Amino acid sequence: MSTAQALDQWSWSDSIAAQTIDAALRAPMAVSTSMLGRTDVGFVPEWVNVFQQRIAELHGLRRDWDGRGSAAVRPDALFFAYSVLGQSMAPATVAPSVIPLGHGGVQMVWSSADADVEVEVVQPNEVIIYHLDKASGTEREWHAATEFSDLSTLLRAVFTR
Amino acid sequence: MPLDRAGLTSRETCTRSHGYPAGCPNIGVHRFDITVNCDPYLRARARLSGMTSRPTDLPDFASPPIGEVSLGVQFNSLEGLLAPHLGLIWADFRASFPLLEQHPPLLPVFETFTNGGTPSLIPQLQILTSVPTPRVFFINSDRTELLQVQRDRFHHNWRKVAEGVEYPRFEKMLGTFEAGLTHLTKVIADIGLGQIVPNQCELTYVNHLTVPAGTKQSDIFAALLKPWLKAPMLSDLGAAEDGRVMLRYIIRDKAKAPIGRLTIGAEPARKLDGTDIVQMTLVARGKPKGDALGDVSEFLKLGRRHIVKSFDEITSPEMHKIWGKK
Repeated sequence: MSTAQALDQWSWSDSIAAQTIDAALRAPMAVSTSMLGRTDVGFVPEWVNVFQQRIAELHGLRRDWDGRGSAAVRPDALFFAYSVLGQSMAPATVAPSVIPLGHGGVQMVWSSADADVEVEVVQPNEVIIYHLDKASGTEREWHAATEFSDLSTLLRAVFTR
Repeated sequence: MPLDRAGLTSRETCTRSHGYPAGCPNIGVHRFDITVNCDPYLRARARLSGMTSRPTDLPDFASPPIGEVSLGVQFNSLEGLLAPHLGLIWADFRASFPLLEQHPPLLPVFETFTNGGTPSLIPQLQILTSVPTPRVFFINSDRTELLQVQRDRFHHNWRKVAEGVEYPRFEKMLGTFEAGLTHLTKVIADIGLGQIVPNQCELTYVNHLTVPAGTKQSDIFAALLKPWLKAPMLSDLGAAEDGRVMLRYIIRDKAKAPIGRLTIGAEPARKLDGTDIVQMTLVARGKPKGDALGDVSEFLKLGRRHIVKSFDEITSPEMHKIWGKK
């Protein structure tokens, strides 16, 4: 089994050298999954399936998909968005709506009676986050590159079942 | 073959035509100064030949147990880059890397952070395309060094293909990496594919730690690493059959902001000749400060510092003697 194949399964383990060619690297550590029902670890979160289905739709959008000169959806923006979600979301956090943008990036949106959160991924390491607290009417917008602590706190507090 | 001050062998072969109907008049083995004028990649390598020196405060080993080293950069995907373009790119590297292999592309990886620590365990994201643009290896003639190119990555690897082959050292590899990336950037621009915008840097050391003769399976890590890691004996089951180690550390910049991670993995493995080893892989990956080549190099140097220091700190003094710690 090649390294790249061995590491396809779980993204946490891909911090091992995916680009090396050493034949001695073997399969990653896997987390056992209960065959009896849902457990706290070791299952694929529901948001992952929802997100991946949406990504498959968006990836088919080519240049000028909206008839107004928009760029094709950037795969690197999709991968980066997925990385942000993997870092920020709890397994039971609800999936965002994912909307393509004219510059090739994507916007992820969560909305509830209490808050709206929008995360615009322009390109890898370039993210704009917007939060509206509906109870107080407070708005906040900030830029992020690799650090998503505030987003994670927000999503886990407001959008996790 | 001895290297001159520019890091080139004193005699190189030009294989290009350069527009001459009968081929380049320099075809054949000739002096490197003529070759430098012929080959674009070698010209770039010569321009960047000011090799940095090894930091004196880093631990140094005469015979480090290194099996493979990779210096790499991941950049924003060049969606216009198709398989035929890889052939155009290879033309400029062919004199130094005459062998070619094709492999499936690697998926993008990003280091992101929250104060919550461990991210969710999620499957790798796969985006299916009908014809993925491949990753190509440009390999040197003795198969010890290679360049990897794909739509969103450039890597330079060295690998130990036989006992007695000496690790060329990080500084020389960095020189080759910088020259390669500089020239790739130019070729990409010349073809009209856009700009290389780095988004992650990655440095990997794969070490093959030979298990000392007579060591019990349960004591392997304790023998190779410092005593902090010794698999406990269980009252009913006795010694562990084997085990693995995975550690992650956050790399921070001067302002203490997280910029990357150092990942250390160790697991039992076996070489092709049947020798039992522990394979220790150290990966430093993170975001460069900016888009310039110098920013990529700075991260790789920082990653090298963390890798070498951590390797020294977690391996045992007994093994340091075997590896000739200076």
